[in-house]
Amino acid sequence: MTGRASVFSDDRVIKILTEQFIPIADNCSITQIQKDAEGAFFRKVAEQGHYAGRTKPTGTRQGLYACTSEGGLLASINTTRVEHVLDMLDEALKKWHEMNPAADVPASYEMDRNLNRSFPEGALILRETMRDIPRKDKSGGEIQTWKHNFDHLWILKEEAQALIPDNPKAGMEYAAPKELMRRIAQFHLVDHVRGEAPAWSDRHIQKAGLTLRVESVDENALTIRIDGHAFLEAEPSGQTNPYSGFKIDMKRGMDATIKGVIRYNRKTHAFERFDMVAAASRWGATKYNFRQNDLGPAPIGFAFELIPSEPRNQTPPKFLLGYYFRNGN
Amino acid sequence: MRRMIALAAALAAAAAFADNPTIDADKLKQIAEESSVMAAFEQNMQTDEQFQTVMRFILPDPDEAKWRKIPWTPDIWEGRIRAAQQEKPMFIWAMNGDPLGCV
Repeated sequence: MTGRASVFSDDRVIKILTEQFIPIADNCSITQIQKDAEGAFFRKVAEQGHYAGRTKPTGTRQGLYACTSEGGLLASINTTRVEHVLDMLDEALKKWHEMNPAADVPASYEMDRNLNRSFPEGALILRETMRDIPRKDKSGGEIQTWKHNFDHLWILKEEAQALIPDNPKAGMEYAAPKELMRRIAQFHLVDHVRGEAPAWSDRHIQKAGLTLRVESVDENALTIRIDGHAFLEAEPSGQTNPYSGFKIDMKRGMDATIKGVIRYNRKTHAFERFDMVAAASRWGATKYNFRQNDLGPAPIGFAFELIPSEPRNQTPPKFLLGYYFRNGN
Repeated sequence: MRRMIALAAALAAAAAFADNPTIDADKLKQIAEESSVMAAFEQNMQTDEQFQTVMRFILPDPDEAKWRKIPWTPDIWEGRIRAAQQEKPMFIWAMNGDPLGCV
């Protein structure tokens, strides 16, 4: 994702956004179709901006918008060039200072139920990072391990509790909830390193299991080791990338070994550490994940780390609206 | 096992240096690290050290995570409320996909 490195890693941009703006990151493909007050607010802002009224070649409203809390546009642009963004921020601040900034604090609103991406109370958040693993390339070319992508794994409160045995003893082994493993395999062992890919379907999951083993336990703490394996494979989709003309006429798959460690505080009933790595071999490509010249089999890694379940970390999992939770959450 | 991985990394770095004597220290360090990651990966992260090696490699380094220094909120409505309360303008980074997640 170019903007992260080119624009939002620039010290000048970091300083201005931190000190002079309320910075918001939003998935506008969903917000722009929400039938609620938040959707209406975003559409109001976007329809004053750089893609106002546009429907072709797409109706996207991607970009950078500076606005008032009432929805008045200050400036907008869609670019990954940092100097252009700095100019845009400067223009926005000049307009802002010419205005009377006082505004009412907005009231709460009723969310569009069909697109509700609220965080489940008491859930854990594991931030996922995925990246290609170094390898000896037979072609002699350079492997681009600097490319990486992120997602977030949400573990429901009751699933997290099921990972902790009532009467733990060192050496004790047990299986993780099947539903949790299904979710990890189907939605989180997906190769988005170079571009987005679709989730796996149920029928693609040929094997998926996680075993937990109590490594150590005392009155204060519990340490659990995770071991698992997943094998996923999909038939060729037959789709063609409209830009490259590349046709997906090969299977795609993922064969992953999973290891991890959990540290649980028995006094506070809090997860203090939850690290997990899926080391996988991947093959094939999807319509938009830019693997046409790197079909594998090749190594890929997925790392998961526990982060605080605070509002600022509650960016939803990519596939949350696609049967992510099967129990209606 | 640790010694084997360290030895493999050192041998890889030495081989790279033999191929190109002008190679710099940073490149040697990178080659050693990548060799360790490859070895740990191929052996299915059998030891905790191997697990940590692979985990560290996948996670973003400080430069790659610099954009997280900005105090983003992933919720436009929450941003509206803060903007009104703090009398600041809003800045919305809008993507087809979550800018703070998978995009």
